[in-house]
Amino acid sequence: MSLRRSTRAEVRRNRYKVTVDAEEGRWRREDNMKYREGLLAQQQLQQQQLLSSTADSEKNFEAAWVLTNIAAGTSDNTKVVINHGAVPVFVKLLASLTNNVREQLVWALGNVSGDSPKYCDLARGHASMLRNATWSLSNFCRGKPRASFELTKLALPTLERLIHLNDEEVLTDACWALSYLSDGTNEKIQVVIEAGVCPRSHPSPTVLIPALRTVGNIAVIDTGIIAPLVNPLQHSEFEIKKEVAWAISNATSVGSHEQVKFLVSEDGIPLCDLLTCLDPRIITVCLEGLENILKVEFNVYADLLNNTWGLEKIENLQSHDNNEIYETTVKILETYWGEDEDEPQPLVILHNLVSIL
Amino acid sequence: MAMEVTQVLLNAQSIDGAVRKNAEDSLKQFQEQNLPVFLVSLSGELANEEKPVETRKLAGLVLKNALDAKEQHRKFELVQRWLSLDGNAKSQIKACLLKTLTSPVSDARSTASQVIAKVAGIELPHKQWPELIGSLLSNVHQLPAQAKQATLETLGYLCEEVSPDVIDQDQVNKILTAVVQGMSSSEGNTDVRLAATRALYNALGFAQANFSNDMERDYIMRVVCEATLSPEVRIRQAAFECLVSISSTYYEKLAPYIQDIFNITAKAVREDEEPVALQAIEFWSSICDEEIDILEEYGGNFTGDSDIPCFYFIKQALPALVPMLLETLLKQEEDQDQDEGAWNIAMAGGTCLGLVARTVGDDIVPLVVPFIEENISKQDWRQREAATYAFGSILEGPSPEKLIPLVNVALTFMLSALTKDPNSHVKDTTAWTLGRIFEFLRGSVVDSPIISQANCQQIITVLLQSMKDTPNVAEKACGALYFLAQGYEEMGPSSPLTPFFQEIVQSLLTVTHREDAGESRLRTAAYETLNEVVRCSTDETAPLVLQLVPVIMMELHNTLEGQKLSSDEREKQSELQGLLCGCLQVIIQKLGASEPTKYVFMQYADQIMGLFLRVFACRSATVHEEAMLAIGALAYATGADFAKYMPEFYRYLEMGLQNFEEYQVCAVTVGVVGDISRALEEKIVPYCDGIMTQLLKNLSSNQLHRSVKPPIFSCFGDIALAVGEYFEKYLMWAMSALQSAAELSTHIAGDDELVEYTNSLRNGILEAYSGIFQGFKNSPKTQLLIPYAPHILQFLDGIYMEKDMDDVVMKTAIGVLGDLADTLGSHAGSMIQQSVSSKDFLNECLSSEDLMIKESAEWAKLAISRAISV
Repeated sequence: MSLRRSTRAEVRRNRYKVTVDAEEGRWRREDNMKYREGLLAQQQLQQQQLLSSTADSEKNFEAAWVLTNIAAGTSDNTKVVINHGAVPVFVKLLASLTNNVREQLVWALGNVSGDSPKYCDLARGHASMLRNATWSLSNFCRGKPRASFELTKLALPTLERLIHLNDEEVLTDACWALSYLSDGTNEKIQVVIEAGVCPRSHPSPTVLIPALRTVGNIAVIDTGIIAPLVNPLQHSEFEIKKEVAWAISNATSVGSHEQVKFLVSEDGIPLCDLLTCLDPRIITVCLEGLENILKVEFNVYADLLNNTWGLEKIENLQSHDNNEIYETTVKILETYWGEDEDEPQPLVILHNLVSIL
Repeated sequence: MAMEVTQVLLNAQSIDGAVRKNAEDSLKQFQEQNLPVFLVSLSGELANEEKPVETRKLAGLVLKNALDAKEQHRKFELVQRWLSLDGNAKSQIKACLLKTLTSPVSDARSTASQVIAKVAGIELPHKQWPELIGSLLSNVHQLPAQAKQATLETLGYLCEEVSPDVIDQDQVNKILTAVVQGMSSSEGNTDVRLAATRALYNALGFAQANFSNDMERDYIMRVVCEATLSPEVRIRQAAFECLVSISSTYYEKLAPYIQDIFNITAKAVREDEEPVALQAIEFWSSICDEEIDILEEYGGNFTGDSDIPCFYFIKQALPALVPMLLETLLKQEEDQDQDEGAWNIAMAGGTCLGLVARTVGDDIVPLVVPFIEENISKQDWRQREAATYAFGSILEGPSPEKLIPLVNVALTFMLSALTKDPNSHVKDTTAWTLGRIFEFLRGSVVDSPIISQANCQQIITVLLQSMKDTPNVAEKACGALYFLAQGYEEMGPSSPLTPFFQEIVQSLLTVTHREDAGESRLRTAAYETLNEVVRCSTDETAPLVLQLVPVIMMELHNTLEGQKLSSDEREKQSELQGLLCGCLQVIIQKLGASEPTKYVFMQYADQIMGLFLRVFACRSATVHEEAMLAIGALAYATGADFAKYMPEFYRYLEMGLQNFEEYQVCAVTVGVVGDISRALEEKIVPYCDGIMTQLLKNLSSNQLHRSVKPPIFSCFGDIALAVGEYFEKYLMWAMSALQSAAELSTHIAGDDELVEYTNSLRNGILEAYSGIFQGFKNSPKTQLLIPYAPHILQFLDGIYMEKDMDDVVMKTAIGVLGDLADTLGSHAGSMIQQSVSSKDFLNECLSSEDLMIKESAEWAKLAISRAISV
């Protein structure tokens, strides 16, 4: 269809001797926000790079492969590898996006650390390297986007060996790595459990926190593991209390009804004790846990709460100045003690879902 | 049952505002109280020969406004309202309208014509009012000239209102016969002939079948060509307008007539009055447009898979066409460069010459060069200007090999003319020509580059000096600098402009402060050029760009120190704020691109954000698009720290999302929500309830422009990716909206524009799915997505089967398949295996020539094989 008469002349006139086109400038500026395509594209790109074997990643892979093989040899070989600054290289390469390089590195680190108790005795001065390696391993397990579990689970045997060391830093990072690995679907947790990697007790809070977190994760499957935790809740250091609260709350959120019942029957509702603490994050975690417990069998636990000052503690939180706490509190009270008769409001009421034309 | 509306309609045109307001209120009230009676009364008023002409006209206008509106949703409401109106009332109204066509009062007739066309526009597509065309046509042959003229006019408007497929060929034939008869030289009445010629203009779109028939086409073409020779100038103009329309609608049918048309147009260009001559030139411009499109579609491979072949009319006409156009260049008006509305033969001819150069390339050069040489140094400014313009207009199209030798000779002359020519018009065109040299011949592969170390200094000195010239010349000089800077984009670490950077920036800032910078869009040009200079600058000048930050901030600050402003001043101030925000955006992007500069820049972040917030605050109802964009850039540069600005910024974000009226603002804001999500990641959670609620409302609204809907879906993806499993809260809502949009967008048939829209919609939907899958990946809540997987796979299969997706959608779609497999893993294995997408579609993508599609497909393949094997 041809343009209307007046439009034609206008189009021509607007293009006459145009130099700087402000509209175009605007578009260009908007286009320049290339990151608009954003993480979506970026993440896909990363995943694609996992696949694409560019010259660089080929080289990295080969280097890693060679190092792994050497590290797999005698302790002396391992020593050579480490003394030649391989661990920092490993650390660096772990950031590599390429699939096969990462995999190779996990093996390499496994070999190094497999040798490491001996190695640590042999060359104490170089312990920092093992620390680095463990740290990088934990980073690798944490990486964002999360590396494929197929890959990271290769680290489990390594971690199993590492948690028997006595170096606090190594232990801390190994426990963190475990906590990342166990932070996932049930199948993953199952794999972690099956690997027999269970964090040991340790006097240092820095070790205990990730250890507890791992236990918290594992608790999803095996609530029995919680019982020993309820005890620390009453007298441990605050940081540790926090982790325990988290572990319990977590167990309540994913555990089956049976598991939650079991959990509560162990020792009443221990979470209430923490409702008076000062850290809003812990309060929130506890409230969430309580909410989950109430969901399971309201009548039983509502009474329990009434009788243990729990309800009073919850009610007091209505005046808390943290908004999230306030809202969760009100929600719990409204839902289970019915202070407000109104139905919970849906997010938005729409007459038609989408009008696209 | 009719009501008395005459007095109210008279009052509605009173000079007394209060009376007018009162009358308008009454009209609104009538309409609300009893619509059928009100509309019948209006049509009665229009048809009543005893009523004053003003009330008849206004009655018709109010009636017309009750049938049609500019806003799509309002229009839709009015159409529905009319369709459901009482049948009796509608018959009465239509009878009145048709009767009015025979009125002796010309205003009444012409108003009735337009209203009839509006009613027809609603009813004909619903197969209602079938007798309309018949009764109109029966008039034509019997009635007095006035009624005949009104009827032809009605047919013209009708063709404008309805689409060709709702009128069957038999009726089209009758309409065309009546119209062409009315146009022919045997029609003695000038008004009738004019009305018929104008009606043909609108009816041409209906004449596909007739133009395929040699005899009918010959007849129509003969009548149109004859009309171009009518003694009445308005008829000649209307006839040339028909030719212009034919040139684009029926390009492929023109070969037998092109020689005659050339003769007719050449005569009109040389001898006829300006409105006619302009149309005659437009005919050739339009042919150029067609051939440029066709040749572009050929795109180098001459297999000719374009639907329409190129007839090379321009190439054939070249030896006669170019001299004719060159002549027009000499017919400049004195101050056309200062007059924004100017449009004359010289401008139209110059435009056409540029299009001809783009159509034929090298062939035009030898035809124009002698004209340039002949005139460029003449005493008369018109000749110098025409020669310069001719040179400027052939710079796009011909090959650099052909042009560079010419430019190398001319450059020094041009640079000298820009400062020394006594005529401002010549300087204006010279600066424009320099800009085109830099635009089209930069980075050319030919050995002798146009800009060398040697003349760079001179070029910049001359351009900066010209920025002090009259606003129109200064604006062109800015433009030349703009393209000069653009030529050094991504040049590497060093640019020849580096030594002059400071001086250039200083000069541009000086231009922005000129008293007369409001004329000829000079201020805008100066800021846009500054942006370009910054954007294309290298690391060497990063410290200078940093120094610019407080300078621009201060400028913006000054606009905010407001005294009371008039609405006119306020508008100007807002425009300036937009320019400054745009400039800051470019600077933020530039400095944010490398860590060291970003680090230093961040010291200003708080203050800049404060200024942007104040820009919003000084507009009461709406937010500033440019400030919004700049904030998006700032969020990207700031990352998670942007959270500290959110409490204050959030209300403006919400305001932007609610701005349906200025939907571009809404669209920009949706984009900024994406930027902020990426920057804040989990820290956006506290704002998600509000944002998601608003976005869902926007999706459901039929008042928000449709172009904003696809980015809203993409934005879901950004948010899901940012907040991960926290998105659970919105999952059900987002997925329902996505699902219904997905269903709607699977099959949409329509014109190219609708297909393009559909694809952008699909892309938005797919990006949302992608973001959601990736956001939930490795979360214990992944299984929440499983119930949605079948539908998503069905959607992928559906759009694959439609075979109308573009490359972008294809890439995103195959990516979603990969994300689905990757996130859901074995849960989705068998579902995936059953889908068409995982086989045919995947294979098609794997063998795609588009690298992006191929890569996405390979990733999807891997993800699927993992999902299946586990």
